[in-house]
Amino acid sequence: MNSSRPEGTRWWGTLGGVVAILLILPLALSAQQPRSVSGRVTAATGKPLAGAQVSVKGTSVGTLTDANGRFTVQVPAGSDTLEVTFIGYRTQDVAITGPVVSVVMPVEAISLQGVVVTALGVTRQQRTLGYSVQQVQGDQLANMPQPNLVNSLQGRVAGVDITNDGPPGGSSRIVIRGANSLTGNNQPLFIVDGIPIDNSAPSNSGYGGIDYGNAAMDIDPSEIASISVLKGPNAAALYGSRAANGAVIITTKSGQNATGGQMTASTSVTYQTPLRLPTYQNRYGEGSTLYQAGCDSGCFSYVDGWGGGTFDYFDESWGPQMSGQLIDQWFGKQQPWTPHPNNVRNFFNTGRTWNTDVAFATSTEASHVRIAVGDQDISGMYPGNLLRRINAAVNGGIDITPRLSASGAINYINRKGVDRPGTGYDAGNVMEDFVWFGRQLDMNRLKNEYMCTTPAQVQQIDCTLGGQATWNNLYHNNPYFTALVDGNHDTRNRVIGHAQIHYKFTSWLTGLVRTGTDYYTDNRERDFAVTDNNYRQGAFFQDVITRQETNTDFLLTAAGDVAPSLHLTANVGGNTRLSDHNVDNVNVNQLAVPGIYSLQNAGVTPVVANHLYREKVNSLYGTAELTYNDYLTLDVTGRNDWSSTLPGQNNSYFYPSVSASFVFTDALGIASNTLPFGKLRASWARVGEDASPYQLVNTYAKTDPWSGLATFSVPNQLANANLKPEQTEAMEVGTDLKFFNSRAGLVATVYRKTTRNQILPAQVSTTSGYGSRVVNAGEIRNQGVELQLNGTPIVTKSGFRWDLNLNFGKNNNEVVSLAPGLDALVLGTYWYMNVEARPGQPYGQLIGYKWQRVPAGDPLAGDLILNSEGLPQRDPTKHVLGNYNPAWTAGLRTTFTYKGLSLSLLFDHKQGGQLFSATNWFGDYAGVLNETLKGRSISESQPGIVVNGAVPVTDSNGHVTGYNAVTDTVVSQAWFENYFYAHEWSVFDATFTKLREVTLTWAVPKKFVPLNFSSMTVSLIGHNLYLWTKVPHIDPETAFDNSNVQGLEFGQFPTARSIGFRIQIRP
Amino acid sequence: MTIKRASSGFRGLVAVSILALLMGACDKGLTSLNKNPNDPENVPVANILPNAIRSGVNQLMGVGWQLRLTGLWPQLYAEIQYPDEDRYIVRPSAIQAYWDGLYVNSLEDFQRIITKSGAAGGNPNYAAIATIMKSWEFASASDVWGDMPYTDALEGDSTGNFKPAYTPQQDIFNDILTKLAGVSSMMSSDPLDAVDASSDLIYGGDLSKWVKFANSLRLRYAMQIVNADPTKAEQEFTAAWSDPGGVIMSNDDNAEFRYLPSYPNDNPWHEDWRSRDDYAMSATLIDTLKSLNDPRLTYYAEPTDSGPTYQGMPNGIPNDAPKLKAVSRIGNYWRANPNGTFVIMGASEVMFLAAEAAERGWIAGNPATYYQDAIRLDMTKYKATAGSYTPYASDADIATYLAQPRIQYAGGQAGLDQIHLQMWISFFGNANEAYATWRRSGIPQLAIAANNKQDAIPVRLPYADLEQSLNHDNWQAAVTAQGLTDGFSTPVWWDKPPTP
Repeated sequence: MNSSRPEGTRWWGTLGGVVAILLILPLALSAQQPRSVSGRVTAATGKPLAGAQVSVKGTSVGTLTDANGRFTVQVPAGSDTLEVTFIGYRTQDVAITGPVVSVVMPVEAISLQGVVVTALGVTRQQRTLGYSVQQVQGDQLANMPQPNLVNSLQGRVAGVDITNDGPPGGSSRIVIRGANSLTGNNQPLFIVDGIPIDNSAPSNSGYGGIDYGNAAMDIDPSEIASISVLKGPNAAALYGSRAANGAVIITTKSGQNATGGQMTASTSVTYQTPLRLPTYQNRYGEGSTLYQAGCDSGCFSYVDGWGGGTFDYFDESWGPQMSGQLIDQWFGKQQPWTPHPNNVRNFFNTGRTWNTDVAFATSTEASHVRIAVGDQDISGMYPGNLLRRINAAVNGGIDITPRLSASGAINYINRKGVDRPGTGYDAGNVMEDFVWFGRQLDMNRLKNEYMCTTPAQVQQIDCTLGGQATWNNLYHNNPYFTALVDGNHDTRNRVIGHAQIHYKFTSWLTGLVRTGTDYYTDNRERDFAVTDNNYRQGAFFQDVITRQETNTDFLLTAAGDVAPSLHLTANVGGNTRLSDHNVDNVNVNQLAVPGIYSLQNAGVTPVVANHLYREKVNSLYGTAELTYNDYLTLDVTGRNDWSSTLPGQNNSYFYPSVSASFVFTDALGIASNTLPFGKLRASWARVGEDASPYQLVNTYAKTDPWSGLATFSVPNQLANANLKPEQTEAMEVGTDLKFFNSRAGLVATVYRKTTRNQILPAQVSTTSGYGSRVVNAGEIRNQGVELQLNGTPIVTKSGFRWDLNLNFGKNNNEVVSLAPGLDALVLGTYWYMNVEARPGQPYGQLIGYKWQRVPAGDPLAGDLILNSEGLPQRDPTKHVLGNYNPAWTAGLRTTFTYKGLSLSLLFDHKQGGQLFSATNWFGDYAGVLNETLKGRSISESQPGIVVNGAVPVTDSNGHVTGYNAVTDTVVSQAWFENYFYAHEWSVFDATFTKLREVTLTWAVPKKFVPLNFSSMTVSLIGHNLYLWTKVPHIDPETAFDNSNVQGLEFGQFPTARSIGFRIQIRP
Repeated sequence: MTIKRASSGFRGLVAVSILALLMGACDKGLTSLNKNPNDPENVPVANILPNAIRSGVNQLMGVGWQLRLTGLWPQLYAEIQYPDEDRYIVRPSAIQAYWDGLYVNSLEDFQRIITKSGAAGGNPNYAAIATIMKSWEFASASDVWGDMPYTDALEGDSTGNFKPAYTPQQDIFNDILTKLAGVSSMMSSDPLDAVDASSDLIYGGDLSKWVKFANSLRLRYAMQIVNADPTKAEQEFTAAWSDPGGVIMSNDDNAEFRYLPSYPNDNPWHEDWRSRDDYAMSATLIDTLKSLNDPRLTYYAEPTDSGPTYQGMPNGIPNDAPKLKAVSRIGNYWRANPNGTFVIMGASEVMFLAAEAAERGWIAGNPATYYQDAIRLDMTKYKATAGSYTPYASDADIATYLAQPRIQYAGGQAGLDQIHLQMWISFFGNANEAYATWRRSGIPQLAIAANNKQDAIPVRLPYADLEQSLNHDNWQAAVTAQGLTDGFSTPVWWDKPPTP
C-alpha cells in the first residue's frame, strides 16, 4: 500500500511534443507551377451531372460542375488525383493523366450507409437487414475528443438516452429503448472487435463516494473505425443474454489498405469551464435571524466554528447584510463583512484536456499491421485533479496460405486518476459546501489559509496536529483541504486482446476460431487527512478490483446460391465465456500518525473483505440468411445458452429470432429519382437472461469480527433455488426510404418489447426476518418509435453544401406487474424521495411529499393549508411527483461545407421527465440561492414573506368542517427552511436543449501540408456550449450514479463547457 | 463445388460440432462453479450469537434509538442541531431503519440460533440465551410500537410467511413472561453444552447469571403492565422474585455490554462523538440533578465552556435558548470513552422494582430499604466495570445524598413518585426504560418541548412506512385494533392511567 502520488508519468508527455515538432517542421514549398485541368462528369447512362463536387485530392481546391457537367480546376503542383462526389453516386478518385479528364459516376449500389457491422462481427449490407442498426463513423467521434466514449453518442443515435455524472472522468449511463429490467443492469453490452468488454461503473450512493467512471471509457475514440448500435434484442439475439438491452459494437481501425506505409496523427487541446453554476444571492452572509432573540437583522460572530460564537456553526446564509461592517470571522477578528459574488466560480480552475494520437499502418497483399498510441491528459477544473489515459494498440493479420489466415489485436490501457472530486451529500464533496455556505466567504482566503498555521486565525484548532483551517468546523472541510490535502488516486491497467484463425475449407465454407480476453486491475485509494470532517483521526480506504472475461468461440459460415436468384448464408457457432470479478477492500478508519496512509500506520484494526464472483456461460447458435433476388431477405437465428448461475434444471435456455427485409423499390421496379430506394422490414426476437452469481443458496453474511472472533449473520435476502431465466421478447417493424436522388433519407422504426420473469429481489416485510427474497416476477413493457432523417437541402455550384441529420426517439414504458402482492419496488430513496417501480406506471416514478392543500369541493380548494406559524405543512401521504424518463429525445446535426471549410453543429434535446434537485431544495433552505432574497426585508423593522392560504375550521369534536382564508407574514428564513418538509417545489421539468458540439474545420491547402502527408485539417471545436432549460441553477443532465436510481440530483459537479482546437494529419 | 471439397468442409463441420457439444451441453462443472466462494452456507451458533447481541444492543442503546428518540421525549438528552425529533418530527426513514434493524439484523439471528440449537444435536443453552435476548428486544420494541408481528414473525425462511399478522401487545408481554420463566428449564448442565465464553458478549458463558437476568426482566415486564393487568403483574412479579434462580442483586451480575477500545467495536455514542456534535444534556435532567445535589451530575454531563458550569438545553430549542457554548454536552464517560458500557439491566433497577413491589404490598421487606439500596447500587454501578473510572460517589457522599429531606423515602404515592424519579435518573444510558417508566408513572412531570409539532409529548412511534405496502392488511388491522390516528398520541396497551 503505497500512498505516494503518481508524479513520474510525464515521460508520456514527450509523445505530444514529438507530434508538435512534426507539425511545425518547415513547410516544403514547391517551386513548380499549378496547371489547369478541365473535364466532364456524367452518369453511366451518359447523362451529365450538374453540381457534382470536383476537388483535388488532399487539398482544399475544388469546384462544382456546371449544368452540362463541365468543370475546370487549378491543380496545385504535386497533386495527381481528382476526387468527384455526387449524392447517390459512388465517389470516384480519378488520376490526372492530362489536361482533360472525363469522369463516369457509377450509381451507389448500396443505399443508406452501405455495410454495417452486426452481431458476431458479421459485416452485412444494411439493405438486407430486417432490424434497425445505427452506425456512427469513427471520424465523427475523433473530431470531438471526449473523455468518455459514451458521451460521444449523445444526439447521434435515435432512441438512446444518455446521462452523465458531471466531473470529467466520471461515468455516463446509456439506455437504449428504455429500461427492461426492474433491478438489474439496463445498459447495453459493449463489444470491441468481437470481444465483449466490461462497462461496469462504481455504484455510488447519493451520500458520498468517488465516481471512477464507466469502464468502456477506456476505449480511445480516435482508434474507432465505427460504432454500430444494435438497438434491441432483435439485433442482439446472437450475443446472448447480456445483449437484451442492446449492444454497442465497436470496430477499431486496422492496417488494411495501407499500402506502402502510412502515418496518421492528431492532437487537440481543449479548455473547460463550468457550463452552469447556481445563481447565488450576494446580499446576506452567514448566520441566522431565527433561534435567538434580537437577531431580526441577522446574527453572526465567529469564535471557533463549533458553536462557540454566534451561529458560527450555522452553515446557512440568513445572517447580517453584507455592507462592509466589521465582524469576527474565521480568519480573524473584526473583518469587513463583504460579498464575494464569484466565490464559488473562483474555486474552479480552467480545465485542460490534451489528446494526442499517432498511428502507423502498412499492408501488403498478404499482411497488414497497425500500431497506434494515444494519450489523453486532463487537468480538471477541480483543483489538483489530474486524469491520464494511455492507449497502445497493435493489430495485424497475415495470410499464411491461400486458405489459412490469422489475425489478432492487443490493446493496452493505462489510466490514472488523481484527486477526483467527491460526489453526493458528503463532506468530501465540495459542492455540498457551496450549498450549505456562507455567502460572505472569500475563496482566496480559503485557498491561501487552508492549513492551520496562520497566527491571525482565531479558531481553536490544535495546529500541532497539522489540521485544517476552515470556516465551519462542525460540518465542513475547507474545500481546498478536501481537494488538496485529502486525496484519492486510482490506477487501472487493462489489456483487451484477441487472436483468431480463419480457414477457407471450400469456396462456400469458411471457419473461424477466436479467443479474446478483457483483463484489468483497478487500484483505488482514498485518503482522509487528520481533522477531516468525516474522519477526524484520518483514514484511508483501498479497493483493488480485478476483472477478467474470456470468450472463446468458433463460427462456421456456408454461403452460396442454392437456386437461381436464391442466396443462402448459414452460420453455426459456439461460445464459452468465463467471467471473474474479484474485489479486495481495506478500510482503515483511524491513523496512528498523521499523513501516512499505510496498513502499518493503522490506528485501529483495519476492516478487510474480499469477494470473488465467477460465472460461466456456454452457448451454441446458428443463423440462416436467405436472400431472393437481392431484394427479399429472410433471417432466422437460434441460440441456446447454458449458464452457471441458474439451477441445473433451469440452466439451459433457447431463444430464437426471425426477421425479414424487403426492398420494394427493386422488387416492384418502382425506383425513381423521387424514390430511388425503399425498404420494409420486420423482426421478432426472444432473449433469455441469466441471474447474477450465487443467488440460489442461502449463505451467512460476514459481520465485523469481535476481538478476533469471526462473526456471521443471517443474510437479509432469501435465495431461491428454483430460479428461471428472464425473458425479453421484442418485435419491430420499420422502413428505410431514400428520396430525391438520395438527397434525403428516412429511417423509421416502431418497436415493442416485454421483459418477463424478471429475476429480482422482491422486497418483503422485514418482520419475516428478511428484507427481500429473490423471485422470478415482474413484467416491463417498452414501446416506441425512432426516426432518423437526413438530407442535403442545399448544394450550390459555388461549392456550398448544407447537410442535416435528425434523430428522434420516443419510448413509453410501463411496469406491467411486480411480484405478487408487491405494490411498489423501491429502487432507491434519498431524503424521503423514493424512486420506484409501480404496477401500471412507468418505471422510475419519483415518489415524495407534497404540501397539504384544501381538498376539492371547498371554495378554497387547492390553497395551501397553513399552520399557526403561517407555514405550509407536509401532506403525510407520499405522492407521485414525476418520472425520470424523458418523454422523447432528439438530436439535430447540421453541417455547412464550403470548399475547404466545414461547420458542424450538434443540438441535443430531451423533452420532459422530472428531476428532484436537492441543490435547489437545500440551497433554498440554506439561503444561498438568489430567490431566497425574497422577503428578507419588507421594511427595516418587519421582514417577511406574505403567504396566502387557508386554515381548517373544526367543530367541537375536532372534525374539520371547512376552511377560512388567511394571510400570514412569515420570516423569510422560516419560510425557506420549511421547504425541507416537502419535495414538491424542488421537482422540476427536466426538459433541456444543449448545443452539444460545434466544429469548424479547415482543410489546409496542400502546399502548406508538411512532409508527404496528403491532408491536414485544423479544427476549432466546442462541446457543451450552451444550455437551454427551465430547471433553475443546475444542469438537468445529471445523475447521482450509474444505477437505475436516476432523476435525483444533489451537489453535482458542474458539467464543463469545453472549447479548443484540433490538428490532424493523414496520409 | 466438387465432392472432395465438400467432404473436407463436412469433416470440419463435424469436428467443430463435436467440440461444441463438449464445451456446451456437457459441461458438468457449471453448477459447481456457482457455489459461493465468499460466504459459508453453515456456521456454528457460537459465531452467530456475538453479532446478534452486538447488533441488538447497538440498535436499542445506540445513537438513533436513545439519543435521537427515546431519550429526548423523557428529556434526558436534548438535540442542539436540527431538533426535529425533539420537536416530535421523526424521519420516516429513521423509523424504517429501527424497525428493519431489529427484525432483520438481530431478531432473525436469535431466531436462527433458537432453531439450530433446538434441533437434534443442538446446544440448548444457546437457545436459552437467544430466547432471553429476543424477549428483551421484542419487549423494548413493543414498548414504543404496541402491537407488532411477533407470533408469526421471523418465519420467511421456514413457513414462507412474508406477511405475518400483528400480535396484540398484551399477548406479546404474556408470552415473553412465559418464555422468560421457562429458560432455566431449557438449559443443560452437560459440560459438552458449555457456552463458548468468547461468544457470550454479556456474561462470558455464565448461565446462572443469564437466569438471574431472565428473572429480572420478568420483574421489569411484570411491573410494566401493572396498570393494564394488575393481577397478572403481581402474579408474575412474585413468581420471578421467588424463583430459585434468583435475580440480579449485585452490580457484578448486571447484564451489561462493554465495548472494545476501537472501531468497529467501539461504543456507538463514542463513534458518533468523533464526528458529530448534535446532542447535549436536557435542561430538565440537569436542573433536577442540580436541585438534588446529585453526584451523578458530573458523570452524566460535561461542564460548559462558558456560562453556568452545568446547564442543559431546553428540549426543542426555544427561541431564547442558551448559546451552544453554554450548554453541557453528555459526559465524557459516555461520549469520549470508546469502550463505554451500556447496562441493559442492573441491580439498581431490580431494587427500585422491589421497592415499588414492597410499597404495593406484593413482596415482603421495607420499601425504603430497597429504595436506598437501589440508589446506592446505581451510584456504584460503574465501580466494577469502568476501568479507570471511579464510582459516581463514595459511601460518605451517598449517605449525605440519602439524608436529604427530598430524598428520604416518604412512602405511599409520594414514595412511588420518588422511586420513579430515581429510576428516571438512573436510566441515563438506557433511555428506553426511562421513556417506559415515565409513561406508566407520569414521573417526572414534563413540559412539552418548545416549538413542538405535536399537541403532546409522543407516547408511541408510528409503524414503519413500508409496512403499509408490504404487509398492508395486517398493518391496517393493527392500526384499526389500536385506534391509531397519527402514530404518536395513542398510548400502547400497558400505558394506562395508574390504578388507584
